[in-house]
Amino acid sequence: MKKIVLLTSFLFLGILISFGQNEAQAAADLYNNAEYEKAAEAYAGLTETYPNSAEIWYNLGNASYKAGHLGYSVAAYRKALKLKPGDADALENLRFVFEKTADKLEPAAPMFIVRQVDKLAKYFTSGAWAFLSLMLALAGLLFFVLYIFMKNFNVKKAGFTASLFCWLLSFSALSMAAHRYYYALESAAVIVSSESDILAEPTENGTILLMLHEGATLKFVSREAGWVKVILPNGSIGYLPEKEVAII
Amino acid sequence: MKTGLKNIFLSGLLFISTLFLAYSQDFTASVSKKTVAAGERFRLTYTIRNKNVERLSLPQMPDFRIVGGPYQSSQTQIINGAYSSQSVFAYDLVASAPGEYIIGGAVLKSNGQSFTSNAVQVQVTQSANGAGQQANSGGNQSTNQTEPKTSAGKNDLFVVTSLSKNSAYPGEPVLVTYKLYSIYPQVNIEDIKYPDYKGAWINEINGSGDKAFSRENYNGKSYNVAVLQRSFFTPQHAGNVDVNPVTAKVLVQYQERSGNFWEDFFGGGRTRQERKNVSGNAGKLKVKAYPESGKPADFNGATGSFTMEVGLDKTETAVNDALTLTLKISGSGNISMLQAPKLSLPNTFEVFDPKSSEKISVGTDGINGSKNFEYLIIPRAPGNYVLPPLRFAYFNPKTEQYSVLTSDTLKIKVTGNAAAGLVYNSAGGTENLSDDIRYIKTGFKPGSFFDGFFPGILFILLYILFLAATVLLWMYRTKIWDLRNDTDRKKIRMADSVAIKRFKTAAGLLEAGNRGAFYEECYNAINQYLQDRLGAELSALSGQKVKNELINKNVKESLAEEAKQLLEACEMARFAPQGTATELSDFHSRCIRFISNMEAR
Repeated sequence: MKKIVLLTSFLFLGILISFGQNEAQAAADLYNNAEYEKAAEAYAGLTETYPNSAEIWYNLGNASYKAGHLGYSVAAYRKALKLKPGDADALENLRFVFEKTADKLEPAAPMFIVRQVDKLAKYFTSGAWAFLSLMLALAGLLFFVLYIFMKNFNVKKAGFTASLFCWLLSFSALSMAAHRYYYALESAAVIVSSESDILAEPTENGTILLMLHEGATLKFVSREAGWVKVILPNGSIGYLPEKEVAII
Repeated sequence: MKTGLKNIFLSGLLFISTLFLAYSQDFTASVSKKTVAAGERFRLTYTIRNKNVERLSLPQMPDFRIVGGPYQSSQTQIINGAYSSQSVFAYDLVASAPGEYIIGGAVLKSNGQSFTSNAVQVQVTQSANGAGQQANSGGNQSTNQTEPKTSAGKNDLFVVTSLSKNSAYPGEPVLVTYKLYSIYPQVNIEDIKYPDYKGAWINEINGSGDKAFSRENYNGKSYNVAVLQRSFFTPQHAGNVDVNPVTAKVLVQYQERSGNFWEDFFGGGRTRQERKNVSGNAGKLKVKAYPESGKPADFNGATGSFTMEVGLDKTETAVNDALTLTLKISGSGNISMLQAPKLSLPNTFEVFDPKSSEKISVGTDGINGSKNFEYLIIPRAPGNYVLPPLRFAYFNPKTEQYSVLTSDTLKIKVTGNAAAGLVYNSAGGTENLSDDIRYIKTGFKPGSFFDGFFPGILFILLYILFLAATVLLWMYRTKIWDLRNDTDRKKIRMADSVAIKRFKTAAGLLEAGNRGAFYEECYNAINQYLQDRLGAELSALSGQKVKNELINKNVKESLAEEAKQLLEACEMARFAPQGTATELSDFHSRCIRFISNMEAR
């Protein structure tokens, strides 16, 4: 019974991946034929099935830029960078597109690598870090069992040291996983309409604080009933209609 | 009718002069050709022998135009004391219409006498066409002469623009000659205004416009011709171009004919001066587009035939120490319009816009010279560099083909430290290099296998499980140790009372007279006590070993010695019990004292 379930799930995964492969190839063909609008739609569809694929988000960014949607391309590149921090292609293209935006609000590249820890954290996704952390925890447990139940003093000593070491590594990996997880959380709002007024209150008649253009990126705070709360470059709070921004 | 009358009159005059006038062989008229075509130039010559010429009056010649002369020459000879002289007056004439004409005799006044020359008959035929009579001036090609408007007045004075070619490529110099044609014998050029040329470069041939007049036939007429300017016209763009004519302000002098026959006959009439503006028609030049086939990507409009030289002022330099790359392009063509080829160097070199200088000589064979480009290069990082060869592409209009000149590769050695001096911002240099985004990522990656694992419920549960298991194990271990410690402490607590109980049993055995059993009990009591009290495994050990063990356990040596002696005594007495009841009682007391000493330590 267990075997059947396992086999079925593997089969399903295989079908899903080959389906994705065909879809991705179709989108790439559209891109190569300069049908950028259609390619962007295809990639946008793929991001719904595979929201954690940095490559698909990156390609969506390319297709969006070529189709003339500056804001969506900025959002897609940022999303790709959240899933794969420090990706050279995404950084370069984001910088390129940033040069084309009307409001140069903040550095083109989202800051991730600040400390040595970040450098290490970018190697794996949060899930992979978590898995590593779990495996290390298991190893820590097994070594502890050795320490407790083995009579030989040397074995006991080695078991205790190894267990301690594994547990320390496990906690580090767990912190990496948390780091990556929080980095990937929604933190930025990119304006996707050609022009957008940022209001002081979440109402149609609110005072206009600032007018920004497509591609401008603001710090995201929260969603509030069709409105998005953001932090402006000067630190004040503003509101935008939800449909005018992409949140990543 | 009038002409007919004049002819009759002239014939009559000829007849009369033959009959009555002192016709002399010493004054003769002759023509170079008896039969000429209309518009053809011929020469009328008067030869005067042995006479002093006071005045020579030409006959009226309304059907002929004097286009040259008088060319005067005289010579004097003395042979054997006989004096002879000869004077020659020659005129170039052109007949304007076909027919048969008689040029009447000229009248010579000499020493108060009048002499009349013979009349000459000239047959003027129809001209075949104008081309045959066009004289070339100075051997320059004039394939495209633009005729001036042939209105009566404009025919006298005009400017002709002639081009050496009808069609050219952009950048190909075309020789343009401006010539002033005048029928007036005396022309003073007062001012020349050169036109504005749009979309073309002009290089004047130095000294070409000397404005010296010479005789030349044009469309069957003889003119005084002066070259106003010869220059190279280099078009810039494809298309049809008008080479605009010059305009000149001239002062002409001519003799006004009064219409009075006799006055004209005797060379009368007034000399008149007149200022005139002269212009002509524009030359038409068709400028062809460069052929597309085989056009190099870096072709930049260089047209002609060129050679290239590339040099560096030094091949070894230090970081931030400038060096100069010199590129010399020489040859013939549109040298002034040559553009500096792009120098593609590694990013570690900073290249400034080149300085250019040119040397040009303009001659009838074209524009020759050279153009120098000096690139100032500052290396910003050390290393051994091989510079890519410089390319220079040009179009040769003669062969109608493109050529590319390629230099040798240049080697530069840069010494020093990149950090020294200015820090070159390489990011700034490369930032604007890309003009498009990078290509999409091919290959399908659905994402990581572990996506969603953190902070998933499975992960949290498993992690808590492992952590809890470890903690529980730790707690379990601590509990076992605590239990073990408790029994040990109890044993210590109970050790002396156990020993005392045993000694009481021993005392009972002593009273019963069972000596062997007494010693055995004592031995066991002491051994048990030491085991419980110190946690040492002492069974079946000799007295000496027990002593050493006790010293290891921080027991005083005297006590350890006592334990040794007691145990040895017991050991010995167990199998061969000896001694009096008092001695046994003393031994019993000694054992109890040892226990109390141990407890008191």
